[in-house]
Amino acid sequence: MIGRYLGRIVLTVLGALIVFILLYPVLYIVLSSLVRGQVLITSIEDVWSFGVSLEHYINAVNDPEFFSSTLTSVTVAVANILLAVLVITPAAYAFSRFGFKGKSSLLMLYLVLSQVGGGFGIAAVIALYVFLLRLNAMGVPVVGNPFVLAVIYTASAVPFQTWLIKNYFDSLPRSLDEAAFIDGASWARIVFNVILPASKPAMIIIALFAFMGAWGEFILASFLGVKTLAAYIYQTATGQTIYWSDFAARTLLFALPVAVVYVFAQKYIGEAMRYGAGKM
Amino acid sequence: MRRRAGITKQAIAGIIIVVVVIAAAAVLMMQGGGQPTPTPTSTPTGTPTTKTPTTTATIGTTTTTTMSTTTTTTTTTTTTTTQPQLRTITIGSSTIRVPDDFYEFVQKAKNGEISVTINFWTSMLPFEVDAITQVVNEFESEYPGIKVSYTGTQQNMKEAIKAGVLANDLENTANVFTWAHDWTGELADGGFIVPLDKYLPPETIEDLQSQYLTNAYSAGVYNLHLYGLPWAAEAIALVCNAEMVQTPPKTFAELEQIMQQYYNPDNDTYGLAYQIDPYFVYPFVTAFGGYYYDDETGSVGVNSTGTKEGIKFLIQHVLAYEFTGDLGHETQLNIFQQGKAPCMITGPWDIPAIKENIPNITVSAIPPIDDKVPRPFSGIKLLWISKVTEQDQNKLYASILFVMWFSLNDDTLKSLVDNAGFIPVKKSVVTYISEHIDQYPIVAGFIESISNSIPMPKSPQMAKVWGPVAEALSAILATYSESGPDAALEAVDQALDNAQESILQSLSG
Amino acid sequence: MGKVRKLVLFPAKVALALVLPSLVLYLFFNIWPLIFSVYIAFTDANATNIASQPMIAELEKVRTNITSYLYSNKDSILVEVSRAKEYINQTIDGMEELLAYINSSAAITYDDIDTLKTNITASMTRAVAIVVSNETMLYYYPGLRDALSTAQNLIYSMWSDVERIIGFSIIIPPDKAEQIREVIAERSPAIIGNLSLAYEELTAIEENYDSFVKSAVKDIDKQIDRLSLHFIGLGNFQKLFSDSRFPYSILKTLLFVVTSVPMKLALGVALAFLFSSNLMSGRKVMRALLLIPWALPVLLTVTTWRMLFVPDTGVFSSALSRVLGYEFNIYYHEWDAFAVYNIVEMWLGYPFVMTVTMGAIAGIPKELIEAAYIDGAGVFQRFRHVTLPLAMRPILFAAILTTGASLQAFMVPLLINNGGPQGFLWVPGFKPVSGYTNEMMVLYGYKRAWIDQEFGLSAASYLVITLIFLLYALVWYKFVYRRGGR
Repeated sequence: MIGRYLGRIVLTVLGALIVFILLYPVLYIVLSSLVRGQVLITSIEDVWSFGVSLEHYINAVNDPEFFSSTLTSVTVAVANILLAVLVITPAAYAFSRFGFKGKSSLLMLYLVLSQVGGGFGIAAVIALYVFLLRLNAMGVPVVGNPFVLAVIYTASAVPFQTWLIKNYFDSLPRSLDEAAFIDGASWARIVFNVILPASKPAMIIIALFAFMGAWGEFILASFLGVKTLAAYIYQTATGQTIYWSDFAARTLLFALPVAVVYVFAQKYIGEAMRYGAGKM
Repeated sequence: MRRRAGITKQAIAGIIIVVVVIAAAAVLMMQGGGQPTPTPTSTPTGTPTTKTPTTTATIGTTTTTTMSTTTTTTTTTTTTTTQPQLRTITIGSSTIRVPDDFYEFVQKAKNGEISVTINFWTSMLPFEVDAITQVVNEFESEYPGIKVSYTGTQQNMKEAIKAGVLANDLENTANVFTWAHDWTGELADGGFIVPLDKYLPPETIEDLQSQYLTNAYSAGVYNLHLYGLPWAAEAIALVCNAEMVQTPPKTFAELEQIMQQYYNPDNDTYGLAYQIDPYFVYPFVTAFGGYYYDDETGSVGVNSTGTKEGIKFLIQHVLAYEFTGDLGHETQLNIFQQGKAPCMITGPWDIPAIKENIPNITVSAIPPIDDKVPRPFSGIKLLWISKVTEQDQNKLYASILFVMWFSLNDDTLKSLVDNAGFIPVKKSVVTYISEHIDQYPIVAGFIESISNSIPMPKSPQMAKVWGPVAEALSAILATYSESGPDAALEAVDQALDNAQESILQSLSG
Repeated sequence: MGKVRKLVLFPAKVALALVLPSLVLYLFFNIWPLIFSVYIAFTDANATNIASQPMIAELEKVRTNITSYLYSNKDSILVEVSRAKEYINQTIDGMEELLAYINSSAAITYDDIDTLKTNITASMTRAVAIVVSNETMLYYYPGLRDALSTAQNLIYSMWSDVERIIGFSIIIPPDKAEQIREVIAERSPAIIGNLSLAYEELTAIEENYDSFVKSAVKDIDKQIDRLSLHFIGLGNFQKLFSDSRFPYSILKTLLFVVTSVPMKLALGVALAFLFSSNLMSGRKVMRALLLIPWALPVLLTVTTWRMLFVPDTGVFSSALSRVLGYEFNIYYHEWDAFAVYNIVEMWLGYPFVMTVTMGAIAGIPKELIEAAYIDGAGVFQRFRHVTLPLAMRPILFAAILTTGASLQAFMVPLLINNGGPQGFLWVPGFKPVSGYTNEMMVLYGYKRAWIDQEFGLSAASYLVITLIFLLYALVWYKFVYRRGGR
């Protein structure tokens, strides 16, 4: 009994210590954001010598552009979530349940492309940008349009997400669908009563990734003139002078929603990865 | 059987759709080489026309009037062909002769008889954006016919402008934008900006030229064309903590004394805060007659004797008093902010951050080394007009007016000094500051430095120079940290020779 | 029961309808930039010619008409030429007046200098205006253009120096006057020389108009060529492998993968098991906290790590220096920096591995563990024989994805020390060269694009990198998929 009790204490303390060590850099950032003035702290003593103040957070929140760019980010994120769920869920379902010519090659292509697609760098970004501007000149309102940005994000997510969710659907027994079908249910019934409820975790996963992606992306957003929070933060970080403490405060505020989402959705992400792995 | 046919049809349909989509995308990309299609209101002269200067776009043809000089030599008269009348407009303390139709436009804009919108972009920090917004508002109130849609924090501005010109996007791309002059070569060569002399006669150009410090004006001239007008400048200078250094040192020997006095690494205090990179070390290079790249001749002087001597001097008489563990911007700024060094060499961009921690500072030019004057790089902020603006005459004129007004209006230029610490380049404003030097000690200090400065090269070739020079510096510093100053001195020649070689290679290849 | 349905449960056309929207989206917005980048890899794309279509189009328009235009307007152009010559003469006169003035014994005054300057400026501006005019096309006569441009720049630099010497004063003291004399005397010969050269070029045009026309055409052609994109086939690839820099970056990246991936996996798996243990209280909170490195933006976190490792003053670097007994410096020591990359990568990568593994552990049926417990297996044995094997699949999956992340290492080297200290790179079989010792392959490509503005070269490097990824993806696809079966 005592052994167990002791073990519990030791383990908990060990855990806490590990968390502290691993999160030390984060502590550093938090302290940087709380220090008075625009100083780079090099040790804990610096914090005392310069004084603590919430000025950077207050500055950040009072900044009207901070506020408006947050709204824009929310818009883009929501649009991205809706579109992604709408477009990817059926596709994933189709890959899982249906058979059609070219399915396995397309799937493999998706898999490979998802690993590889990120790497094309500046030429690709410029190309995309010019292409979108052409669209704009032809009358499609593209520049500064948060919805178009959401569409692009969804498009980029297609390979990886489709593949991942397809694996999830694979783990759901086909017998469910077939049973409903044999029972004479119409397509609508099957979709709404059987498939959708079962895909809830899948849709949550897609929504999660869609949110995290849309919230954090800044390169394309700034190119397209869509003033998301990420783009705005990035802009305070580049240039001749980095207002370090300001930057720390803003970034922490910026990261807050993502962190919160991560924490609450931990379970789903873990499951998603498990399904992704499941096919191996 | 039926099922299979179904699949094949579907597959074919799918493939067709895919192909069409990609083709559509490709067509969209290829289409329109960005050549502005002339709208009915103007025909930009891209093609040579015969001499019928009644086309509306050509503001003034290349003509002259009779000219007399005030000295005792000859007066010349020359034949005149067609000749638009010249009227004068007044902006601030300046009077500029302009062609008739431009003058008409300006009047209409003042009266609100016309209505035109132009896009103005900058890529600046928030406090700078505020100051500029005030200026923009002032312009709009003086010219109610022109609305300026101002974007203060445009990201990736150069790429955005290029893409806008490529896509021929008149509505959304900037019509006027501003940045330091080193972009001029690249933008001009690629045809992204409009040469002002295409639309303004020599008289206007002449009048404009006399308004600004020559240093600043010449930054806007490239290959004989005037592309932009200057409104501010920046260069690094010696910034000292007034508590530690009451009067700024007048000679380098004095500065060295101060640095020696404060350099005590065990105590964590240093003689000088000064980041080391090709841009920042330039004053020492030029003091000894060295240079990196000459715009005129295209020659590269990275391993010239002057450059080598300058770097060696830097090692012996400057680095010796610095914290060499991290010679990057943040750390050096931090050292100065924490009062660990009496002086720092930096530019106007750091002043707001410095003043948060150190309220009393002095600014002066980097003091001369005996009779050698250290000449830092200067960046002249220019206002350019993007190529797409040519398509619409009203927008074009509005842009030209805005560019002129912004760079010539004394009151707003002064407000930019007061509100955001921009260093002015218009002669009358500079004179004003010199007459009220007590009110503007910091600005005056930077002006002093700018008057010593050498504008950065405009040529696009310069881009190939920075990299190798940075690498050479980095190698020298590595040797310094590993093996000490003497070894570093010895490494200078080899490092700079290597850099020279690789620059020459990349310039030719 | 129910009617016999002709419809099959999962008909193909419905499938395509479901898949098509997402596929179209992807193709439209992602494949196109990819194709363009691939195209660029075979050209000499750089900042000058990647986006010059507008200028080229303009120049071509000029080019088509220029010969006929120049001949049909020969008379009026020659009139302009003679006027330009007049102005240049006036400018030379003005310069000589200036020289005479400063060499005379009279005191130098600001007003006099200003007047002389105005005259010179006036005539020079008009000369230039004629040359750049669209109606004379004189701009395309290279000798003239260069001479005049040089003269103009020299004039500007002379006046800049004079302004600097005069400063703000109206009265010019003798020593400053002396300096002004020096400056003007020094510059004038070159200025007059170039102006005279320009004059001669103009005369040459008058004397041989045909050769002027030919030169102009040639010059335009040259300018168009400079601005155009050229297809160079495999040229970029040859360049990539012409020296050791790119091969070195590939090898260094592979080394980085080999060192960082095991670390990431070890930490992630260890933490997963530790924090899955029932014995620990507050597990949920701690697990949530541990995810933070994943959640924060990379820009912020990696820059923070850099600050922590700043030589001498950084918290971690000073501690390490004391422990290890030598100065730990990420800017000057290649392997110090490399070690830090691994630490940071491990810090960034463990949350993912941990989450996946925890998900796997949660999925292990409790009965199995209890059965082992009942069978008398100790904690470690349970771990080794029950938990680990069952969690192996997801861990493998995590390993594969995290290897991909290490292969793409870019942000970390860039933000920590920009690719590491300068050094001498040599890969056997390639030419030795000096470069960055910790430059990973994606960073190499990025630098070629952003810093050198060599887009063609950068795209080519990315192609090679993609090939490497493809190889990697194919290997594990075949290897693992075959193994796992479908």
